Parts: sequence; structure tokens; C-alpha cells
Amino acid sequence: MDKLGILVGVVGVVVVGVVVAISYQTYSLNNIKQVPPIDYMKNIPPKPDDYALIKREMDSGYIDISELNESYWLQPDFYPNWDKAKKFYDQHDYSRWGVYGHGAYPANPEVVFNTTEIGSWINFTVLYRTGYGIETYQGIKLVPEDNEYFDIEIIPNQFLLKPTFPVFAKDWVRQLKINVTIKKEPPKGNYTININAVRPDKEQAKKWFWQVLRRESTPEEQEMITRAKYQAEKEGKLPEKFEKWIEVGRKNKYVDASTFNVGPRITLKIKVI
Amino acid sequence: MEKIEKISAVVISVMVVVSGIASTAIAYDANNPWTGTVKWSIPSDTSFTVTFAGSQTQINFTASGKNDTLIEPDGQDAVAETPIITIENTGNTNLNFKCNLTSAKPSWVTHLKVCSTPFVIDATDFNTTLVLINSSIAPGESTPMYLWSYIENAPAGTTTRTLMIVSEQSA
Repeated sequence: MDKLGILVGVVGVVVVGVVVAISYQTYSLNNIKQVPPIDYMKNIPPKPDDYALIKREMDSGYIDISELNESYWLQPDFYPNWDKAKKFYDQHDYSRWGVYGHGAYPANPEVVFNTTEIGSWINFTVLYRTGYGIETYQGIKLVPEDNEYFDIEIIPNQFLLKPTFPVFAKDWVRQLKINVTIKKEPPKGNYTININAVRPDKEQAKKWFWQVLRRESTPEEQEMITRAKYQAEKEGKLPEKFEKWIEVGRKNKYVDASTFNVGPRITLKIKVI
Repeated sequence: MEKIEKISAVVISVMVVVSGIASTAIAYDANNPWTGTVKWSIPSDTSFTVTFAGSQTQINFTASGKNDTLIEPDGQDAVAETPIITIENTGNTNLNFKCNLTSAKPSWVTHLKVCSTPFVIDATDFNTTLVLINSSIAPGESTPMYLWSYIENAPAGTTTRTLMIVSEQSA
């Protein structure tokens, strides 16, 4: 009888344990099912009707980026390899986070001077964007290499790159104006001037730091916590750890973009004929 | 404490554009060849994405004492296959990734190792000479980066070095 009582007790505990586990798992799964997927494109404007044609012709040389409104170049697929980068969004791994990532497009502009007269100038537009899947706010300053014959002015030359995860920020791409001016008569030929990312000015960085630190939470950030905890449960890890990463470690994080620098950001080629 | 500073990534695609004289039909022959301008346009996008484990933003080796072995940077867990860094190839060509220190490691760092797998036995010692992290990473793919450090008679306090990561197009 005692043995039977113990056996019943053990079975009862096992049955209760299984019921609890199923309920907990069902609750977690239902939580996910009831929450709509993160709309990472919510801040992106609708595509213009001729978007596909414009994109096709971007390399033709006839389209000046400065003539396109932002509804073209705010689209993630305006840039190379969006189709491969989508996994950051569709299959996101919440155990990691995108910290550094940015770049120019086009990154290798070429200008041609048919005069060597001092004061002659050319200007053009380059787009500078945050990398895919980046959760931080990156302060960046772009500085051209010193050059004997040309002055290079970049407007703006320092700016705050906004995140692209969990949603693309409204201004995740910046339009830069680059002015190239002859300051000393150059010999005819080809010149290459690299433009590199450096640490932003300290006072500006401090302003950005506090601006970022004090920003309000967004609904998407709450959604990340739910999904991160679900991933943790699936992987047998501590949901609290994932939650803390998002709520504390990663929240409202400003970084210096030049900490992780991918060589020259823009390689400017100048031809003097 | 080690500090990451640089990574280079190159995105290259090649397009050939041919422009020529578009006008009335003219017969071209050896005495009157057609000449036009061929322009190789290399639209380039220098963007990249680097992810860190947990909530890390840099590489920190926190030793338990002045002598320590197999120190993993905060956030890395090789046993759980969690690298400190992953580097995404957001370009459109296969890339190799290499790394080195821009100045020699302190003498009390007896080993600084890097590997693209979580097995320190496969890791490569490195200092100021570039060593391979991983090769032929296809567009859209990524490479993990695991690091380990060993120290002997390390002084107290924080010491930094610049770790540079470079990429090159795979052969």
C-alpha cells in the first residue's frame, strides 16, 4: 500500500509537471502568435511608381542622386544585397546584436575636370547609410585625406546614423553633398582621394550621447523582448538574460562609428584632362 | 582589454557600359573602324555589419589574476558556440577575412589566438602579422570570430591594443 501510495505520488508529480510544461510552452507560443510580426518597414515611404525602372538605371550614369527624392533611396532594396540581408529581419538571432555598420553609395565616385584653373569646382551627391540590422546610434565624421591640389568639402561632414533594427529609422540614409575645388593647378592625370571615418567632435558626440540615452522606448522594442525571451526558451537559455540585454545592455546605445572602420568610406577619383 | 579598431571590406561589382556614335548608318571596315568609349563602372557599396554577443560593444579580456589561460572576451562562450564577433559579408563577392594587431602585444600576453570555430586547438596565434580568420565567405554569409588570450605576470590595470580586421576578395 505504501509503495502504491508512493507510486501514485510520483506519477501524479510527473503528470502535473508535464501539464505545467505544456501549458507554459503553449502560453509562450500563443504569446508569439498573438503578437503581429515586427513591421520593420513602417517608417519607409511607399515606393514611387517608376521605382523599378529608376533602380535598373542607377548605373547608367544619367541619373543624378540629388534629383531623386527620398522615397527612392530610403528603400532598403535600393542598395546592393538587401535580398541577402533580409535574414537579419526574418530570422533574427536575439543572442547577438548589430553594433557597427555603415557605408557610402556609391562609394567610388569619379569626377572629371577639363580645366586646371584654380577655383574650379564640381559637386555631387553621395548617400551614406546605416548597415542592415544595426541597433545602435552611430556618430560619425567623414574626413578626406590631405591633398596638394584639391579641397574636398563634405556637407554634412558629421552626423548621427540611426538604427535599422528592429525597424528602419525614418532617416537611416543621409544625403551628403561633396564639393571638389581646385586649390592649386594640378597636372593632368588621375588622382585618388580617400575619405575616412573618424571620431566625431567631442561636444557633438556628447550631445548625441545624451539625446540617444534619453529617447523614449518604442513598441517595437517591447516586441523584441517578447521574441528574445521566446528564443531563449526554445534554446533552453535564461529568458531573463535575453530580456536584460535588450532592456539594459542594448537600449539607447550611442557608439563611435569609427571604432569599427571599414577602410576608406569613399574613394574619390579625380581625373584632370 | 583589447580594442577593436578597424575592418576593411570591399564590395565590387563590374558592369560594362558601351556608348558609341548613334547616328546615320555608316559602313565600318578596317579603314574606317568604329570607335567608342567603353567605361567600366564599378558601383561600390562600402556598407558592412558587425554583430557582437549579448550586449557587448568591444572586446574585453577580463583576467582572474596576473596569470590566466584561455581567457575568452566578455560575451564569448566557445562551449556554447557563441563567438564574440560575427562579420557579415554584405558585399557581392567572396571575401577572405584576416586580422592583426597594429602594434605588438604586451610581453605578458603569451598567446593571443583567433579562430573561426569554437575550438581553441584550431586557433592561430597572432601579433602584428596578418593571419587568416576565414576564407571565401560568400555574399550574404558571415564568419564568426573567436578569440582567446593567455597572460603571465600581467600588471594590474587596463591595457589596450588595436585589432585590425581586413577583408580581401577571394581568389
